[in-house]
Order: sequence, then structure tokens, then C-alpha cells
Amino acid sequence: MKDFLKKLVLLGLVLATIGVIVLVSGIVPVKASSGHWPITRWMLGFASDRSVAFHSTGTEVPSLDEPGMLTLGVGIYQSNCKWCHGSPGSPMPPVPAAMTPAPPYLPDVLRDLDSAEMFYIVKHGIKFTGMPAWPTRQRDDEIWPLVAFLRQFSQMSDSQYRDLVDVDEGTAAPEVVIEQCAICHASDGMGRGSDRVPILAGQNEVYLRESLQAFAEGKRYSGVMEPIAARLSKREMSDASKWYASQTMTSQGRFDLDDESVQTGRRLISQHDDTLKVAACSKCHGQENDPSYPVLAGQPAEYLNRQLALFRNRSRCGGGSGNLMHSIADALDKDQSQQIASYFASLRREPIESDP
Amino acid sequence: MSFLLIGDLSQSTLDPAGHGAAQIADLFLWMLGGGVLIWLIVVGLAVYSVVVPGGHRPRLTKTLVIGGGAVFPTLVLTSLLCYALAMLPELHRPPPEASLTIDVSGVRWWWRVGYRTGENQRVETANEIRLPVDQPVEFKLTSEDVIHSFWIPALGGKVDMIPGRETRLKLHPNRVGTFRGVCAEYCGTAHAQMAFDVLVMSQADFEQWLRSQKRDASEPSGRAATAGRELFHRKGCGACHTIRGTDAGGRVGPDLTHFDSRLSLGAAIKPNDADNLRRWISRTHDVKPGVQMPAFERLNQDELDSIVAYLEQLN
Repeated sequence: MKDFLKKLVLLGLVLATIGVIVLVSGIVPVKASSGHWPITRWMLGFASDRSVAFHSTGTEVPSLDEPGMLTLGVGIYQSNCKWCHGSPGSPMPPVPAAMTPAPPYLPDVLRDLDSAEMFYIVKHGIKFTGMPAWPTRQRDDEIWPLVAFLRQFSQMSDSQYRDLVDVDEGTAAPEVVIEQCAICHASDGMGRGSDRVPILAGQNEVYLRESLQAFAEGKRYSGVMEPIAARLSKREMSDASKWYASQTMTSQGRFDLDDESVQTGRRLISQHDDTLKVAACSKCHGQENDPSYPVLAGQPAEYLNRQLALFRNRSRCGGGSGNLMHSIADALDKDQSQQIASYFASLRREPIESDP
Repeated sequence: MSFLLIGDLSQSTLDPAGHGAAQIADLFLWMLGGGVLIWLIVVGLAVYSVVVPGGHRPRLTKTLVIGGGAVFPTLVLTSLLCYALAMLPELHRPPPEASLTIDVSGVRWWWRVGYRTGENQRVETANEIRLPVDQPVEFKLTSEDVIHSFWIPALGGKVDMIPGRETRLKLHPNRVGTFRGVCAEYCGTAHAQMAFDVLVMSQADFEQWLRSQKRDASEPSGRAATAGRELFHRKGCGACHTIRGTDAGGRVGPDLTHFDSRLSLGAAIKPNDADNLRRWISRTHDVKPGVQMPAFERLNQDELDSIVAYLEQLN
């Protein structure tokens, strides 16, 4: 017995020495060009599938067919994901295909994943692969539209996808607007039909510029806007802000509004209503207020309501004035937020002269 | 000057400046005397029984234990109780009709104060109460959120402010001076920073003050103050604060119409001067953690100075 133990220890020492030699000598290739052995590939894939399935259990999946989900999801995919995963109906892009492990061809893997698993992977990324976590931990609400799109991914044709992402280049908009912003916000700032995306046309220029700055510095959270703003120069931020501020909000009232909630919202925010001890919205969000505050008239109700929820969770700060909204959002319950959002969405905005 | 005032504020029940407080202070002193007497006799007897050696005479022992331990304390406490109960009717009696009535509501963490100046007329101020000397005053107390308690130790007893209910308190100040009132019921983070100033003044001074409070805010003069008013509105301050005579009509925070006439700011936590005001606006949460007002951190020095200049003209 004693003899056997001795041998075991000796064997261990020999193996450890070999291990150290292999490690230090650098003989093992880390090159991606040769890929994994099939057994390694299978093992990693299996472990990752199991882990995702285990940890995504219990995630509450919101309704994914709400209006605006798919449109926004496509925009997000186009700006964050297509570089590695390609777009529907086209082959894998060649550069990421040379990674080890290579990003999967999505139609192959998506059919085996349920919505909660997709959400988990997009939110947290996967270790030892090129899949990054979502750039911010605060914005689960941005990930679900993407999941909604991924569920349609396999059925979508190249031309359907192009219809959703191609932007009208025939405008006078600056290049940065066409290349970076128009996918979601359209080059006229009216958005592309998702009521989760703010209308930028006619918004205060200072507010737009400060928001971009806040996204770029990570002070305002968004997995979509932070990466985009981070790659813009000061000049581009200023050009984009100026352009959108000079656009006119058109075709208002395209979002279905429940008249009763509009009326309740109007009553709630009139400052003579003493039952609700909340700062009167119009004192900051009208058209004659500080240019670093956004004008809210005509913004989609869904977007406004979501921002109030983000303020409530402290998931939105913003360009230095965001903190003003925290105690206000805290004082509103979900119904009241919805009603106030509907009221602002129902307001028409007078066209304003663009800055000379 | 105002700093000295705040430093001197009396918050002592033993230095009464009103009828109620004087009675309560008397009661306290009598109770203290009675309590000390009982303590001396009971403890004296206990010490005597231990210290004196040898046997005690049973008859004397019985008399001392029953007399000193039960009969004497009962007599003293009963007379104190009668004395205290006799005070209650007067403390509780409502003031004569047509006395000055002041509405005070507790809001986390400040005081909304309203003077009834006529049929459906009210003048609102905050965190400062001025009273005429030698006049009974009735307070109608409510709360806008949680239970607070209204207490001016130098003038009288305290009364809880209960949401959804109106409680009353009569005070009758009899000495001119400046006193401090506090919230005497824990009400959240900034409870300890929820105080107010009480100024008892001569009848003539009081009337003059009330007349000036009824007026709308004065027009700003000078470039900085005019810019300050513009900025006050542009930044949305009026969403929460009222300045009568302007567009600002918010009811969430204190009325600022005559802000500069007040001794202190932030619910009597700092003397009302330019430095403190600047700090209050830009670093609100450092001055008073938990306060509902958001900090306007991004105002630059010029903007801050303008707003302060404007507010300092609201006298």
C-alpha cells in the first residue's frame, strides 16, 4: 500500500513537470486557424448549451409581437450583430468565419433555442467565444426586441430584411446620420415605425448633443446607443444633432391613443391638481424651456412610458439633468406614467423655425 | 446676523415663552420635586434598613415600610396627578373665536405654512412661523405623507400630524423672541433635518409682516437678478415652487414668494445666506440627504449666481 502511494506521488510529479514544460515552452498553438478538435468542439458546445438552458430557466418572457418590437430589433441587429452573424438570406461574413470558435450560422442554432435562452445569451454573452455581453447591464428592454427579431430570422428573406434596414440615401442629411442613425431614427428623424424609438425631428439640438455625449461617456445606458455614440467624433455628434433639430415633426398622431388615458394624463399633469404632488411636466418639457431638456410633445407614448420606467429603476441618468427626473418618476405609478405618456404623445407640435 | 439668530434659538421646554409651555414647565418642576422626595424617602429607608445593625422593632418597621413605601408615594403621586389633570381643560380649550388660525402641514421633510387672512384667502409660506405676542393662536395640523409631530418646545406641547386627519393645537406666546420648532415623530431619512423657525413679534410688527407676505413677489432689479428670474423659469423651478405674481405655480415644494424674508433654508437647517443657498441648489443632497428636491449640479457659476441673486431679492 505504502509502495503504491509512493508510485502515485511520483507519477503526479512527473506529469506536473511535463505540464510545466509544455506550458513554459509555448509548444501548444493558440492559433485560431486550426480550429478545435472535434471532441473539444463538442464538449464546449455541450457545456455551453447546458449552462444556457440551466441559467435561463425562470426568465419571464414579455409579449414579443407588440408593435414596434420587430422593427427596433432589426435596427439593433443591423447595428450590433450583423458584423459577426451576417444577415438573413446571405452567407456568413468571411472575417468572423475565421474565428475559433466561429460565430454560428444563426438559422442552424436559433431553432434549438427558446426566447429565454436567446435573451440570456444576448445579455450575458458566452465566455471563451467571441460573443460579448450586452454593453450595459441596465437595459433588458433593448434585448427583447432583438429576441423578437431573432425568432423571425430564419424565415426572413434577404429582400425582406433589406426593406427593413435600407435607408433613404437621397436626402441632404449628413453622412453620419445616414450611416449611423437612420437605421432606427430615419434620416428625417421621424423613426421607422417603432414606437419604442424617440422621434428626433425638431428635438432641441443641445439635448440631442448632450445625450450623444452622455451615451459616449457611458453616463446614459444603452447597449445600442453607447457603442454608436462612442465611435462618433465631436463633429459628427454636432452634425447629427443639428440635422435632426432642424427637421420638422410631421405626420403626428400615428400612434393609437386611448382617449381616456390621454384625458387622465392631461388632468394629472396640470399643476393645479393637488392630489398628485409631482412637478408639472410642461414647466420643463414645453417648447420654451431650457434647450438641454427634451421637448416631449408628439413622442411615442410607449417610448415615454419606458423612459419613466428607466428613471424609476435609476437605469437612466443622462446628460447631467437626468437626476431631476428621478424623484418625479418615483412619485408616479405605472398607470399614471402610461397616462402622462399618452397625453404627451397626443400633443401636436407647432413647427418651429430652425436655428439660423 | 442670521447665523447668530439661529445659534441663539431656544428649543428648551425649561425656558418657556408661552402659557402652555409655562404650565408644562411648572408641572415638570413639581413632578421633579415630588419624584426626588419619593426617591429620597424610599431609598433612605432601604439604606437605613441595611446599614443600621441589629434587629429592628417590628412595629416601627411596619410603619416605615407601609408609610414610607406606599402611603407617602401614593399621596404625592395622586396630588401631582390631580395638579396635572387640572391643567388639561385649559390646554385643550379652543382659542376664542376669530383668533389667528394657521394651517401647517408636514411634508417630508419640511413644513407648509398657511395663514388664513380672510374668507377663502390664504397666504402661504414655509418652514417659518411668525406669531403676534400675547395672542392665542390656533394651529390646524395635517400631513401630506406620513405621521409627523409638530412641536415648539418653548411655546407648548406637541401634537401629531396624521395623514387624512386634522389635529389642532392652541398656543399662546407671551414673550417676544425667536424659537425653534421640530418634527417630533420619526418620519424618514431627513427627519432630524425637519425643523422650523418661530418668531414671536409685537402685534404691530406681525401685522406689517403679514401685509408684506400678502403681496406678490417683487420685480427683480439689476442684471443678475433679472437673468436669474429668466433662468428660474427656463430650468423648470416653477414646476415645484410657487412665486406669486409669476408663472411659477408649483405646489410640490415650498412657496418662494418671499423667500429672502426667511431666516433659514432647507427647513431651518442652514442660515439663509448666499453661500448656503448656492450650495443648497447645486449640492442639495450633500446638505440634506434624502431631500426630494433634485440637485441642479450642472448649473455653472454664473447661472447659480443669477438664480441666487434673484432669490435674494424675494423679500
